Amino acid sequence: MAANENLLEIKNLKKYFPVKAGVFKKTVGHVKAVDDISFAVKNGETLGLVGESGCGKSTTGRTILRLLEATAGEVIFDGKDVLAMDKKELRGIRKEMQIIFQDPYASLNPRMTVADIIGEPLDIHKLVSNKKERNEKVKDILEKVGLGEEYMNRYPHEFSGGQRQRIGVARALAVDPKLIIADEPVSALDVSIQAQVINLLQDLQNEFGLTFLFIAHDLSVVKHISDRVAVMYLGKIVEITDKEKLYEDPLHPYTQSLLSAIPVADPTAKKDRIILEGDVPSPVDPPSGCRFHPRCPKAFDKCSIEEPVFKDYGDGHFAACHLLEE
Amino acid sequence: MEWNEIIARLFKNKLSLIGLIIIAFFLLVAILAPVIAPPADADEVYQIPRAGWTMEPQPPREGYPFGTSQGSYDIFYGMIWGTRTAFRIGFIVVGISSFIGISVGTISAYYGGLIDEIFMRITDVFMSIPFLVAAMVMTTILGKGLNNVMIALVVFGWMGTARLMRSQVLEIKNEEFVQASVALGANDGRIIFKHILANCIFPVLIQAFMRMGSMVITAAALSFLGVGAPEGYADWGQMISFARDWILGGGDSALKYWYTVIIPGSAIMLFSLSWNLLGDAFRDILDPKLQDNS
Amino acid sequence: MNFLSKEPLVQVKGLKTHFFTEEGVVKAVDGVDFEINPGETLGVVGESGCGKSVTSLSIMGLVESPPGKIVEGEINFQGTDLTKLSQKEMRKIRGNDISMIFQEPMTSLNPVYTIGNQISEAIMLHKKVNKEEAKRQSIEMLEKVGIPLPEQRVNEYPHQLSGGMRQRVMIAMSLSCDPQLLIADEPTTALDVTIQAQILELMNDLKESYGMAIMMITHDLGVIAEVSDRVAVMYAGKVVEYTDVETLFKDPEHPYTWGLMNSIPKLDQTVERLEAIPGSVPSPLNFPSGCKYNNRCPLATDKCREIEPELETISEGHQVRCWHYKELERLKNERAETAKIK
Repeated sequence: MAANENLLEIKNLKKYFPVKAGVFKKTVGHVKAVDDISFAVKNGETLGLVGESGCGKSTTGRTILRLLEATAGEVIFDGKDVLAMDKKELRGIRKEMQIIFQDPYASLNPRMTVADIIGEPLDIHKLVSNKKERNEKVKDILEKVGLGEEYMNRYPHEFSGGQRQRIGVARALAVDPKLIIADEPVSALDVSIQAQVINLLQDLQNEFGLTFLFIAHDLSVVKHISDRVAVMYLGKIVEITDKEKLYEDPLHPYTQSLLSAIPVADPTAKKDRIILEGDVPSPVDPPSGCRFHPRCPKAFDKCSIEEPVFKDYGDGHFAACHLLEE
Repeated sequence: MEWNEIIARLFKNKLSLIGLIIIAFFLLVAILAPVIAPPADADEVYQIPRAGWTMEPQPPREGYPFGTSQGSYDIFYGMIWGTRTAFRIGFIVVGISSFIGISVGTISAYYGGLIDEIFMRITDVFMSIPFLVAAMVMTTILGKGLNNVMIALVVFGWMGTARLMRSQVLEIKNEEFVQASVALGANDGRIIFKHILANCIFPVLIQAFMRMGSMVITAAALSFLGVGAPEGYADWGQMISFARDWILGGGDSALKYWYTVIIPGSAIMLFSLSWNLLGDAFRDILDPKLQDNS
Repeated sequence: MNFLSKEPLVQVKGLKTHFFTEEGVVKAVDGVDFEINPGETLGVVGESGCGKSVTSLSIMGLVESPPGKIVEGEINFQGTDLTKLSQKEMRKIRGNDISMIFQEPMTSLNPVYTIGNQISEAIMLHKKVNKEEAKRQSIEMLEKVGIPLPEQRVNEYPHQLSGGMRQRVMIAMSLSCDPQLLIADEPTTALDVTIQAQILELMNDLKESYGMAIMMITHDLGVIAEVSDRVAVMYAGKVVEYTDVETLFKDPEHPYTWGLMNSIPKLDQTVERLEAIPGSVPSPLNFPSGCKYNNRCPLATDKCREIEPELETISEGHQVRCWHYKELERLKNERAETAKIK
């Protein structure tokens, strides 16, 4: 496979959650959590997906893995449409794409030992033939994530947050996946532990040639780990480009204000902050035209009427904003 | 929490220790029944021997340490062998109804949608019939006999467990570790047994403990009302029903026939109390809210 | 910085708050000293379990007892030792002189009352005003914290507001009685960055117009840099470094502070690899002996493993709890060297 080839391609993906009301649970509307997004993840790269809570970034990740069923669109993984697969095919492809969750406390079964948690994917995909082989393999994987074999027979509650996240990474790694979707993998961790887990993910990526879709709200972390970054706002991708370009020359006003809002760990730093007015609107009834227009400091008439087209403004720097077309 | 820790805590808790001791005592009595009260007829061990044909109960005396009941049935023998009946009713009724409840609740919550709708409406229908009345009517239709009592108790006794299980599973199935297992490609069976059941069985277990006592009481009530075990069958409920006409005592003393009521009454009370103590202790141990204090 | 008087507003001396649990004594706060001057913002930074929240609850007199207990130390607030006050006397101070806002505003607001109701109640509890006046003041407060259409919002319920709006309501409520000290426990952690920027700006504005002191508790060094005048860095129940914010970021002297700063990714710098602090935050049930940071520290020696260092003044207004802070200079130079080579 060529290095530049897309491992994952998302085309016009939509995920609507019905809003039900009344005795007969009539659908009275939809939460448009993910509303027609398209992007691609290249083989071996890390694509960061950032946005504020409720923008649909986690839903995107879970819809790609079919932990949630998509409303419309295509998810092409390695040339095959994941959304069109039947149950059996899907179980097979799950070996290739894995997920790491945010909450290291909720994502491990409290009643299973570490050996069983990491051994589970091996059992499911029949990657080992006997118990001894399974133990060897588990030991191997534990070592790769920086945990010793003495932890094998312990339960999750005996571990700290950082160690649990390592176990979560080990479980995802056990099936030798090509793609890992990391859903806020470090945001629940202590500051001094975040760096450890980020370093671990990078080391593993180098060692195994993994491809990451890294979902996070922390722009500094995303900047550090990603090759390219996509910014989501209210179910839409508003900008996507190489990380250098995004952080140095953001095109979309939302990206600009998001970047300026981050508190900088330097009391002498100059701040010309763009403070956005108001809150993120509800995805049940998103604003007309450009979804960002009610909060956009640069909005003009056209923004509330017409939805801007998501297009390339040079060298794969995509954005959706009327200002850019002027 | 692990099993050994739970058990260790059960023994540390005074109330549950009392419960455990009482249950152990009853269990011992049930096991040693043939030694404590040797049956006259080895083929019909549950048939209470009679001391004669007098209708009036007779007080404790040589050979009949608890006295004899209406119709001269030996209370001691009835109590000892009745312990076996109590355990049998408890285990079988609670066991089968819990199994039904767990299955219905789990399937309902896990698959959701139409299945859930149908299962829960059926549960509602069963719930809407008063338990004791339903059990009585059903036993009457099926005919007298302990097995029929148990069938009636099972048929109308699984709904609470089903509802509890459903709410538990609904909660657990959205946990991230379940999602993780789905993402790993696990099939429904593995997810249900390894991840969901293992994590929501405890509340159901607590409820089952509580129901052990109440089922024996209900069975006794049915016997008392005359739709339970056939006459002469060693069953605590039956023993009390023998006392029905003698509860008010004789002409000179209200307590004249005390042994006909107090003895089987205390046994039933202690039996259900002990299971409740155990259930309570279990809940205290497993309730995360109470654990936060530690 | 405008210091209204030389006398500090709050002086915490040798504070120890322990929790007596089944598993043992949790020394959540184990010898904390700091002061807050009138009108100053003290940033308290540290990771989970470092005792920063328990410190603030101790000041508020809100440590749940049992199992918690202030076993040692003083909290002097305007000349009174708060640890000696009865619950009743504390209630007069809480909300009136000292108020607090929390990380999750939803749990601190009662869902069955309108927000106007709740702010009015706070006002009436401490000021002798009637209902109408309290409501008028509530609307005024809501306006001050930047809630649009305060006359309408005052009759709404907490669930009708967004997270950012709820935090504004909490701020309005806590400021309604002109407190001298506002304790903010991770007030923006649950909020999105764009909303966080709004709230931080609001707090800075209000601090200026009200002249109150703020104790800002957070794990986010960015927030600390943004709002603090002075900073106390906490680790394992103790203050390990205490100085003004410029010095702290320019010249951190405790290996933990330094390590923390190096471990976070920065927007304005690109590095290949983050310099993680090894190991994990120790459990308060099981702190290492000697210096509590010794098992993660690059400078640790046998001395560190045996004897715990005191908080030492190393220059005017700069205190550090470390035996070897002077050697940190060497590590800093080494790091600068390798950066140059690259």
